[in-house]
Amino acid sequence: MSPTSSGLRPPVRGKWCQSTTFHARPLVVLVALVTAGCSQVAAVAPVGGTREALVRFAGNDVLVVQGVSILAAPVCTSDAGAVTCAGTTTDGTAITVSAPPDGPMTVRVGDRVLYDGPVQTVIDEAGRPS
Amino acid sequence: MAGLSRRGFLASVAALSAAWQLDPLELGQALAQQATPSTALSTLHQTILQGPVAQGRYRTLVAGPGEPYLPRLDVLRRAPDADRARARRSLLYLGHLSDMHVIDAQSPGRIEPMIVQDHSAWASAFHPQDPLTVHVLAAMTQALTDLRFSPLTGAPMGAAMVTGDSADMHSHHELRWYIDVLDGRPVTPDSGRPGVYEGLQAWSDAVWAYRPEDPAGGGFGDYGFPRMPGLLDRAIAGPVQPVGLPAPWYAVYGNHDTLLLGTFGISPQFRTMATGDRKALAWEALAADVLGGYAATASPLQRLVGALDQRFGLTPGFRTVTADSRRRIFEQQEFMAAHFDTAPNPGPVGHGFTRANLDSGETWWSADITPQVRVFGLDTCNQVAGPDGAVPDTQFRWLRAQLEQTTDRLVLVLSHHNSLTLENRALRPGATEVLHGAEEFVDLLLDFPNVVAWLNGHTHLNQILAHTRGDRGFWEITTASCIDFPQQQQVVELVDNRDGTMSIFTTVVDHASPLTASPGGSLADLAGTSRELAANDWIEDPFMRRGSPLDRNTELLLPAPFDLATITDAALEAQANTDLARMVAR
Repeated sequence: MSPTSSGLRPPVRGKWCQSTTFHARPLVVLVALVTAGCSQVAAVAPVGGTREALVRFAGNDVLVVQGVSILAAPVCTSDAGAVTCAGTTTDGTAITVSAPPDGPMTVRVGDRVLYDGPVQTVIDEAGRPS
Repeated sequence: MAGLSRRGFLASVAALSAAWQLDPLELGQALAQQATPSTALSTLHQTILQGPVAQGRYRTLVAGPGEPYLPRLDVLRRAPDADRARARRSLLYLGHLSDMHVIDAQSPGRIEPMIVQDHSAWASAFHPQDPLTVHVLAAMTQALTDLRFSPLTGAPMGAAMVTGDSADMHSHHELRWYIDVLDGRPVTPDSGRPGVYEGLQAWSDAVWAYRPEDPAGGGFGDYGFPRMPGLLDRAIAGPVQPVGLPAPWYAVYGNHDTLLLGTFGISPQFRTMATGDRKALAWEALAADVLGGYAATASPLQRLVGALDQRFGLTPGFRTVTADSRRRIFEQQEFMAAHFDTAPNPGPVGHGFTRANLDSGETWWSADITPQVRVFGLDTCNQVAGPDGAVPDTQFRWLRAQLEQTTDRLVLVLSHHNSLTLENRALRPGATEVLHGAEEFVDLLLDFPNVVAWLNGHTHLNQILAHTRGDRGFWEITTASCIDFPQQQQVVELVDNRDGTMSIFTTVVDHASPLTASPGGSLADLAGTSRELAANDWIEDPFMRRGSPLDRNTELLLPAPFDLATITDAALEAQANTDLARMVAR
């Protein structure tokens, strides 16, 4: 098969406390997660609220607001909380979006910096009347 | 290409009027009308944005400008023909709903107090708008009915796809309510003691919850959530009369239709609690009671203590409510079976599931929703634990075999999970079935160019991703939810551009309710109230869930997977007539 391009993230490893073979003791699990202080309580966190999604949306917001002609929208990957996204404009220029853990987001088209600042600011501004 | 001949048109009218018991003259007039794009209100005309602060950090909502379709070239990888709009014809117009999370908020079979333990981790256990889910879904069916004709081409809606998480906490009530709302049957969203709200949000000592009568004292009050006297009474005053979906709808399982809170296996103790008369008020009590219940399975003495606790409510941290056997927890097979108790119009009976599914227990299906489009409905939910999913090898191999035999039509794939949440390989001890993750699944779909779209949900946000291999690919379309802001669903239209390319148009749909929450008790007022509360449920990062403009109103271009001219205009017109006749009958 030839290489594929997609918005996939690397497989998540060790998501559960023990292993991927899960011993099904229904609500005992719930209680165990709570009472044992298992850090994997995060597994029940509201779905979708990942930093990767946040950065992707904010990066796209910047690109659209600034009228960038997009051939391939940025595809994002995460590594230890750092998010990096790569795309292409219709004239072949590279689009990059990067955001270190808890750091600001930088959106570039080629060498030109379109945005450098907090991710949440972009989300908030996009959600309010201009 | 020519449409139906005069003789063909008359034959179509005769057949459809007989099938639906309609006046042939009336139906003929309806079918003869030229299709015109719908001008019904949609996000093409108006969006919903965050308004000014009303109190504390609580903000109202305001209208924003409409959003036009943004072309996306990720799959086509070249500039499209600028004249394609003049030539285009509709292949299929459909609705896409996901993550409706219908909730019986008064049920003891809920674990809301867990948010006190960790609000961020357990946010899905409680939302301030939980009592209003039936109203939101009913208002969504109104919006989709308003958009029953395409805003792009005027084509009638041919089908609606439901990609899971329909019942929030495995309750028969929730399951029945969701089906009835989509069918257009009246629903009274009340349980337990009729007409009396017996739930956390009515209890003054549940200070951690949003209590509409007096929110002061807890996190929601501190945030500035408003007083809404009488809201809970209005929420359960029924019946809600939904208009229902305007087209046949098809459903797949979500993780909330499979596991408790979409994450945990369901214990006998929880089943008892759901139909009992004690509702947890404190998370410590909930945890201790459940733990006690499990301990009781090992010791006769503890079992006796547990039974006495259950019988007499000795465990502190619980309040007595009216028991209701209709809150019983459904089994996996019952989810499918419930879809057979349905209205024939919009139908179909089973909503994708067939008698063969009931007999075999297989929870996946295929259906030809038109002669040109086949849909595969998968069950990607993990049966053991965890909110995310994977594709079991049985389904993986079944889908490959099916796709190998489906070469003459377009294919849509449905699942609950999306490509960012398809890595849960939890297995029971001793189980050996391979669970395939996103990379393998996407590779499988890319082997078949006639797979043009994968519709899914799960993450409660609008998101559109391209998957490509060489000069081919497909679009993955994730829709938001009815529970979290923005409480949006979508309509999707497959279009032949008659130039060797096709487009998939996505239009985000807000439910039909006012922007400004009002104290009224109408269905729309209550749905609007829900949206405003959801927009202020800060823990859910509500405005992120709108997605970017590239995830909302879009034109997703891709190469035509085969010569679309083999789909004749006459065949499309006949299909449109069938859809129109069904709407007229409805």
